[in-house]
Amino acid sequence: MTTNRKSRYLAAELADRLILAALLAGIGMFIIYPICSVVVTSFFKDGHFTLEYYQALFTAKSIKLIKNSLKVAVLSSVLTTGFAFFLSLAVFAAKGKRKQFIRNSLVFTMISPPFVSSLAYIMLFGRRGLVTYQLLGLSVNPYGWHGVVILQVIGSISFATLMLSTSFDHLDRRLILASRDLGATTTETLWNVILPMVRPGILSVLFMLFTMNLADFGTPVVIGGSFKTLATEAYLQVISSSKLGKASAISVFMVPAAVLAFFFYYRAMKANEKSTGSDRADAEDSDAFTLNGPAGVMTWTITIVFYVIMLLKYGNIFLSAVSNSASGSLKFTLEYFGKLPRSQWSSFQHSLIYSCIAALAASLMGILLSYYTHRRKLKGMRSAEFLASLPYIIPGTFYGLGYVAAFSHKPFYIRGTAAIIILNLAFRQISLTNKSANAMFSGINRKIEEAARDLGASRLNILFGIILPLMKPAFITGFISIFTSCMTSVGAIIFLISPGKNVASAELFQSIENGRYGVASVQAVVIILATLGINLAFMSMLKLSKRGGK
Amino acid sequence: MFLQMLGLKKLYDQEKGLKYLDLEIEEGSFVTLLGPSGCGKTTTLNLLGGFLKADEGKILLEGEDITSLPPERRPVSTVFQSYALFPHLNVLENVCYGLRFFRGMKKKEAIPVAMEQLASVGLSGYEKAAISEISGGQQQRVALARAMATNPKILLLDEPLSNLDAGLRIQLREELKELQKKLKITMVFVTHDQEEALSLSDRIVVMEKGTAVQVGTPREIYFHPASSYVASFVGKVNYLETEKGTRIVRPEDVWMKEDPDGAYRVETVSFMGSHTLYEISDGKTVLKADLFGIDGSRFRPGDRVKAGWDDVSARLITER
Amino acid sequence: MKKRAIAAFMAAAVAASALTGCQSSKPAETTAAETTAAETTVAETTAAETTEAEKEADKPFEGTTLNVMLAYGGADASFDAFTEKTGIKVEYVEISTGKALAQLQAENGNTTADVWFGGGVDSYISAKELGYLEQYESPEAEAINPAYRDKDGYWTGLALVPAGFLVNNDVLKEKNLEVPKTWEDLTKPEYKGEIIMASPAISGTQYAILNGTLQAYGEEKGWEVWKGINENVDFYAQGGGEPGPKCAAGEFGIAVLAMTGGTFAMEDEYPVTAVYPEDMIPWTPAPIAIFKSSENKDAAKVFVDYYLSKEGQEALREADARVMARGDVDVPAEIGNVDSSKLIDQDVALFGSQREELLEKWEALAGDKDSK
Repeated sequence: MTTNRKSRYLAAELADRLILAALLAGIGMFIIYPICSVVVTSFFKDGHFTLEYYQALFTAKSIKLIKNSLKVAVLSSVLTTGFAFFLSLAVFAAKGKRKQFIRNSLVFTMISPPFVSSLAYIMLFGRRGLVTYQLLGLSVNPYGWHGVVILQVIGSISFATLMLSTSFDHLDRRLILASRDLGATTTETLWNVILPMVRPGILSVLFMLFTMNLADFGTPVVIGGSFKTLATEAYLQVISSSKLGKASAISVFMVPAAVLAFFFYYRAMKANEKSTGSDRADAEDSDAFTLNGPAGVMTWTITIVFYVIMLLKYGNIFLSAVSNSASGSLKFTLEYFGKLPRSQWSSFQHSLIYSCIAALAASLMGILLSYYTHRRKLKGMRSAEFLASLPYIIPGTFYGLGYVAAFSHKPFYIRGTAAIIILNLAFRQISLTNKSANAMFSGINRKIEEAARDLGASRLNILFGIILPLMKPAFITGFISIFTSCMTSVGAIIFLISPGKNVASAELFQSIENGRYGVASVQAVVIILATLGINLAFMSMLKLSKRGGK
Repeated sequence: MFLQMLGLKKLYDQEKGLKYLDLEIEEGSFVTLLGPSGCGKTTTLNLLGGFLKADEGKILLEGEDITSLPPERRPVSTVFQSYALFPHLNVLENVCYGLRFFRGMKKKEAIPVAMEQLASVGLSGYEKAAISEISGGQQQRVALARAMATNPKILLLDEPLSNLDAGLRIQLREELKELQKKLKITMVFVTHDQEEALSLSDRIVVMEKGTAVQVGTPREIYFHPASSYVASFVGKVNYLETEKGTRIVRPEDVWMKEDPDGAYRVETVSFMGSHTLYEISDGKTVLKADLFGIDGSRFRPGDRVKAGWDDVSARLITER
Repeated sequence: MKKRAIAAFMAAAVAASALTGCQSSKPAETTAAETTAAETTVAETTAAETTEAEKEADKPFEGTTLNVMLAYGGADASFDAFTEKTGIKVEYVEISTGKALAQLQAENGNTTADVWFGGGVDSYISAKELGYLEQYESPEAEAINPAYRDKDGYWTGLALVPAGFLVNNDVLKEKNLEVPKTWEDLTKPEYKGEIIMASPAISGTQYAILNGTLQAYGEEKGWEVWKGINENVDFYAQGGGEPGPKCAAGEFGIAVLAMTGGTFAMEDEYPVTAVYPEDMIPWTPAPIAIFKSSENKDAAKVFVDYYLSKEGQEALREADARVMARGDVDVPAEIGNVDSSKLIDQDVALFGSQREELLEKWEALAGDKDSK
């Protein structure tokens, strides 16, 4: 009997090692190798090693670009974090159905196909905008850095709020009771207790936004006008003069910011782990935190503004899909539906399938990565976690080109296949689930795994029987976010699509590049509705699992 | 009357919470709300603190109706079960918190007052310490100092000693009592531990399922329990059926003598140090006996004994 | 168990979308079939002798699929007719030639595409130099003016894209501006802030405008004119397709852009007028070429032959009205009166060789409103 058991354990250990090895190999092959392939090009010109691309970064023109990029990235991230703070407060202070409603709104507004918000913005607030010109009689120039900042804020606020919300969830409500008990009003409590407690979370969100906005090229390309940033420069270098080397150098330049962000993220993680989640049952029911006073006014104003903006944005997109405002008045029409490109439906199917597979894989890998790094605390996994988050931080086009460079020659020739798109999507998004799994793990007692081993469970038993079931909520929420992201992202995969393997978001981009805005709106609507549908389906699955699980 | 709770009611889904409470508390007294979890004692405390809105009823403090006053305006301070100390502030800053907000002091004025408070709980020298660095007992004292710094009219304590180990618990219990006597602060104390209740309180409110079933001094509660619930919650009890009804007899009132023809046989022996608990049986009923000292500890399982109790001390209980 | 439920749900979702996909593509196929049916009935009556066997011999590549990189708006509407005739299926991806070139470089020419269709000729020239293109001189190319094709046979022009102006009548009226007639007119100070055009680094058409006018004016005068125009431009669009719609929407009064059937079609829907400049008309050939790494070269050659043939050129013209490269194909009425005498007499080969130098000079001139 014992030999049987022993071999069972050995087999499980081996399988466990294999899973870990596969995960690491995946990261190495599909994240590090492509990035290196492209970074390498920044050091070589016509076959010779050179630093001239980096030197070019210090010309007057480049310095201006750097200043522009920093200016916009700092503004956007600070503003977004500020708004996200108050929105998170709204979520925190709301109860029951209202809380759920706000949360859901945040999740749904993350479904944002590329470029259409910029278009909506121009249509509403441009020189002949519906709001600025038709309503208010003003002729405002929407292009420029202010347009970029506004759109970056609108585009990332939902995501930032959801991230920051988790810090609020970890707050010990008893502390708020204690503060009020000791005479502090709601606003004083906000300033003296809540804010310091969520500060690690705030910093983490701030830096994450900073790196994301720094790497964003889509927004400045459409609305920047003559205002150029590093990211747009890199993109344009690539598509206009194919100077991969210069573009690589610029992208490499953005990595230190990412490292800094990661550092702050880790600090936030540690702080969250420390705060004990003592029994909060009583506090939940009490009116512990009622939002009144100036803080309350700020919060509810910002929440209302948020909803107004989102309604305008989506309303505009839907309206543009079915109307033509060219002659000055609104005419409803279905003509754009007829003008969809032939490949529209097959591209759409591809989007659904690729995104689904990528999301499943990425979500699973994110959880496994979190498990091996934070639960098993294996050496070197921290670095693996950092590397896994790299694709998110560098510009999407850069990452996409890496795949082109890395996988166009034998023995790794997967160009032109669906696999390359799926792999690119999957490995880019691992860090999403990774982070939420980390947060979830910190709330689960470590003793559970020790107890399981004590009772004879093998490594595999623990992984499949305890860890994965416990992580189901993180898996599902991760799946939802990643799926949404895959359906709407275009930067990385624009170079990976090939005839017959196109995706909906790329088709949308092409429509916009060719000025077919009506058609683009229709395509955007289709993407939004489909993604929303899948989101709803999986969210109800989440509700079911929560009810059953407890 | 200093503090009055009139017809107070707060329910969560029909069954849980506080169903009805009429209670008066004298100034400077130490009152304990005693009962098992779910009896409504914590709900009462939260109503007093202002963290819950009552469904019905009123709370009057020195004649003033404070029922709808928010916690930051009530002259009531709470020591929470988990202390709820602010982890991002050090010991001194924690104690200063109430001084700054409730008493409106500037930081400069607050510091010396806070230092005094720390001294009164024996923590001078720990001002700069971080919360995570000090022990459980020290944390409890900081929580106490912090609450008292606001000079509250009433101090609420929500099972403040239950997180501590036995020896520390007893020590702090005594310190708390001394402090209360010295400062004459009105304290409302919540616990499920009957020893704490008996040793600390001027009056005990025994609660069951959302109402108060008996209010009295510790001796009244112990020696004249109003129901078998109260009797068995506070101390151990023997129930004896007689022609006149059910009688309760406390184990310490039972005597035992060695007698080979005795009606009772010793079944179990639990040596507790200063006293020994016995269970003796005559075949029909099992009696609990509690004997003191070294003589009282000599019986062994299987011994035959004669046992009895003072008729005077056996009380009649009417079941409600 | 839950995992199985998830898997089942997903399978259902995928199946559902696949089904809807099948259904929606059917209507498109039936309308295409209807039009080709109409065409073939006409052809059949004239070529009634053709036997079944001969018909099959005409389609030796039936079942092959060609992958096309497309940068020619509207051309996809003509693919069905091609497939009907030859049995070769066409899969395409719309990608600007600039991006396509970047991709080609990253893959070192190992592309999965077979044919390059339309776009900026400068990219084709670069690609030829890098060795990515296959040399092929179609027999049909003889009917095409040598100025519109590569002298070594690596690419051939399909159509000519003239460039001109699109003006928004409402905006001009409102601001009391006259319609510009020449390129020099664009330097007039009253047009400040009203002109939009694409960046020559990105748009093949715009690059042709720049290079063509420089060739026509001569370097010195040419750069003077562009300096003047640059004063009136706020910023340069990052895509060739932007200026048109922006002008139509009233954001700008004047757009400089390619004059295609699509451009003229906008006159029906928007308050705009398409205007050919009176002094000189820059133009660029929209080429077609075969990739060296293609594994379907023979089928690709059939494709190229078709689109250079009279039949193919007419079909393409139907799909998007342009001046076709073949001399014996009429200029479509939709694109107005092109005064062919005003078409710039330019050396297209220079588009390639001068590109880097020209764009550097451009950046020096317009740098902060544009980026290279």
